Amino acid sequence: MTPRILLVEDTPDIALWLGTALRQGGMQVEFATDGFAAERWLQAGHGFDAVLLDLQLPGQDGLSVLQALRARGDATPVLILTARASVPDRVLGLNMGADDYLPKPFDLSELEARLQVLLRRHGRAKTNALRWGPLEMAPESSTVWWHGQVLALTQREAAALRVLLSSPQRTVSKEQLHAEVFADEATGLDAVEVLIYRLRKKIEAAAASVGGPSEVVITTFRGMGYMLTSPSGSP
Amino acid sequence: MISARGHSGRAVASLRRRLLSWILLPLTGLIGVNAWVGYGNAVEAANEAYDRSLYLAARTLAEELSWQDGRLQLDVMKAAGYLFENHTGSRLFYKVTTPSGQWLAGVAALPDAPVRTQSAVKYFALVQFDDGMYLNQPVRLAQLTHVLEDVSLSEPLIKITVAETMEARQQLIQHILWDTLGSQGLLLLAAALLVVWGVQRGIRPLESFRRQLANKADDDFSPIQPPDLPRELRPLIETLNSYLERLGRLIDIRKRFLDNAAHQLRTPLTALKTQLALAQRNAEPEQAQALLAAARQTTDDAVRLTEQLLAMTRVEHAREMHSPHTVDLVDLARRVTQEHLMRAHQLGDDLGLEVQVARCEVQGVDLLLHEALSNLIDNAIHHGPVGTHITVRVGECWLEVEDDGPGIAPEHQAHVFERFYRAAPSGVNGSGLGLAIVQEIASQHGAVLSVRSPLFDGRGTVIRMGWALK
Repeated sequence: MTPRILLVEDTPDIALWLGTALRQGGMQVEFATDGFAAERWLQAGHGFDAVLLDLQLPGQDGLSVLQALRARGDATPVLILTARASVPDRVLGLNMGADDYLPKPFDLSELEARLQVLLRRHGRAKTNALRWGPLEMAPESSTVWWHGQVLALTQREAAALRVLLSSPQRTVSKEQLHAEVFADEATGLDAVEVLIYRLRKKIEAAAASVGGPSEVVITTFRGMGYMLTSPSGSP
Repeated sequence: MISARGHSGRAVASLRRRLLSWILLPLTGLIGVNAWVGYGNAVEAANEAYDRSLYLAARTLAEELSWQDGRLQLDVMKAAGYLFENHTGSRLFYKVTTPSGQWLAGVAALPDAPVRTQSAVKYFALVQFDDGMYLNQPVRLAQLTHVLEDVSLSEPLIKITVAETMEARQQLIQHILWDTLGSQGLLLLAAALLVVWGVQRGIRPLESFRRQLANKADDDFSPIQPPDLPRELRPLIETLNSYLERLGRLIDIRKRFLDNAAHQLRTPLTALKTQLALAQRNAEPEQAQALLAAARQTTDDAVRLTEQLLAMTRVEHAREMHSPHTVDLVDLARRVTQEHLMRAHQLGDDLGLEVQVARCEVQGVDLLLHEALSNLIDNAIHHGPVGTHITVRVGECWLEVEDDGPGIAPEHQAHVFERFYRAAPSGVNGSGLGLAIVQEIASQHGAVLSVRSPLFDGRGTVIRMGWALK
């Protein structure tokens, strides 16, 4: 299924080239060059999978478009693009229901990655499944799939993986993992290290069984914790 | 400029007016008091003189009186001659009575002076003066008690009353009044002229100073030196001159910053144009690809530079926009490190955090401290080769970023925090603003920035932002 994107951007150059790039990435793109046009597209209920929204627009500004959208109870993911740089704007945008925020100028690859995350999260919200590359986890049970094959994990390993899967792009500290997995058991933080070590071994083994290096690794970040990363870059 | 000139003109005029009123009003008052007192004294002296001559007239009259043949004899013609001789200008009347008031000679209708025991001490106790009315005119009375020389009389005392109309006195008093008013008025006028002239002269240096200031060119911040300036005004001019100097220096720094910024912004744009033109001209796809990759790198540099220029401007104006709060450095370090984690990871660098204290609170603006730490990490990532180990470390009231990159040579260390100073070899692109921004933020927060490099084998740098322990 081709994702449908609404690109709200008043600078023709940016709209043109960004649209071209997104189309080349296999998306269907509609354009709105001002706030009123965006409003018309969104009210008509075209079922967009995501909205790329510039804040400084002629007519109605981006924040009012966003406000109106959320006031209608529309949960379409919105990624805000703006040349305003200060953090209060960032807070405002996210508080008002934006899903992400990317200051201009941005890297095309960064925009694509963020957009993919939004689309995936939106899709996942429908199925509630946790997914990262070939890894997939059922919402309620502890069943984990690797390329569709069930991965045999202990309860604790599955619990740790769930925590990591629910925190994309952010590290999970050892203390946090300990609290989530071992709750109030009288074990030390070393137990977390052992657990992660075993989880890594199992993922590596699963990757080896399909032939090749793993697309997902649990990376340790010094002093920060663990995070699922892909050696290739984007998940 | 016109309004400023008008304004300062008014200020000078008002100073002059103030000086004049401060001097002239009290002076007028003093001269008025002086005139009043002088006039009073003159009138008293004149009255005394007139009274004395009135007394003399009474005496003269008394000397012409004699008791002959059992009745009072008076050589009226002789007496009147004396009287008129002395008292031209006013009319004189007289009467002679016994002490009990029985009429003996003269005008019977003249009023008597009341008997007062302690009047006219300057004269014999036998003479009394008083003001009275006769023929509906104010008169001055002198009443003399005289002892007749004829001892045979049973009652040798008689009373002689002399009255004088007031015309002469009033004329004299008026004369004195006009005289006083005239002389004091002239004095006042002369004083006023002198004061005006003096104030005018005194203010002249101020006026020339004003003119000098008004005629200054907009970009002229040289000190002002008005000629023969009064000593009292020197501190004012010195303060103004030192302010001008500071302003000039500040504007100079701004100008240099702008020049530098313009140069820095134009450089990547020029490179970009060249790279793109070459890419268009190159038919070989491989070469075109290489040029495009280079153009992308140039654009990234330009973006980084633009961001830093904007950050610098933001930081400079932050003082007016943000009030300080309590910021936990541990929490801050964790947040900022998290933000740079993915980029460092993608670039193949190892970014880590080392926390030595549970909490460390300082007073500051979170946004700015965030910007500072972010710049330190960014700087380490930017200047280190792939695989650089970068550690963000938090201790008791300090925050540092350590890397094992190329290090900073000692001759550069003193300058790395200056704007647009670039310590990196010319192959590495940088704006020279990153550490200047950190310096600006540190100084706004009362923190000290220190650099230590190299750490080992000529490599490695630690830049620490430290607060004084409370």
